[in-house]
Amino acid sequence: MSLKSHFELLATYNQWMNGKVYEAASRLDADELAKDRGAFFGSILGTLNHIVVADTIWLKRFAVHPSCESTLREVADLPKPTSLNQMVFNDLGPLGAGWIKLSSAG
Amino acid sequence: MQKVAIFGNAGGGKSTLAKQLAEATSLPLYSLDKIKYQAGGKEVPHTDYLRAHSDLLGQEAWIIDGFGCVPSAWERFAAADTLIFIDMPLLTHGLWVTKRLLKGLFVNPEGWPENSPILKGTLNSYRVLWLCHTKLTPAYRKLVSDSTESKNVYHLRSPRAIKAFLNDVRSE
Repeated sequence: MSLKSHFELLATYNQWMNGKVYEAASRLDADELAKDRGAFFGSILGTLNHIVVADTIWLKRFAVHPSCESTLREVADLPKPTSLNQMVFNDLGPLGAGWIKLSSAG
Repeated sequence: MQKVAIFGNAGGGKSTLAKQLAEATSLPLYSLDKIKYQAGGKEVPHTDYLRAHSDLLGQEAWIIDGFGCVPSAWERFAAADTLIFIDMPLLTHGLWVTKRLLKGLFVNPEGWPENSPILKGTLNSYRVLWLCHTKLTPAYRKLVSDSTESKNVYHLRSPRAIKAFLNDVRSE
């Protein structure tokens, strides 16, 4: 297996697992999602926001590489996250849509 | 009206409305159940579904009936210019699911893949009914009230409202 196909496999796995996490999270209501559970980023919603923030930061780094300029154009245009615990979206639906945008980039 | 998302709890007549709307507008109709499940009721891999769904949203015109999953639903709502939310009392949705079970023993329900296991689908629908009522319906209501300025929003709360909406579209 080439190095590239390793990363493609990992990316697909990441997308699959994130999909399962959103599937499970969508069985909870807004209060349960926002409840502080003592996690590093507080709530489930806070943790999912952190994943979106971290993915955005990494993809924006990749986006400045010459080989990614066109494929990651949409990511390059996203606003730079202000902090690691930034709440980009306060509801699961828009957050999930934001995650899809990131995971389908490139 | 070029990109239309039709959503709401199970057994609200989404597929029937979607079909009638497609006939009235000549917009292409897509049922998510047919993208998400192969004939016989087997689910396609989630990542394949997400890709097919995103590709579909990139097309110029569509009517999409169904849910899929929370992330793809909200991706669709963001891309849509028209949101149609069927939001009837829980009991009405429940009765329609039961009616579909009885009818489905003889005819394949609208929008369902061929040879779907009807009884299994119906039992799943009852579970979905409650899950949707408690978790998704509140989020849908927030979505439609937040979207009234940016999109065409139709919040249909009764079979009568559905009929009136279709009549309006046909007379345009």
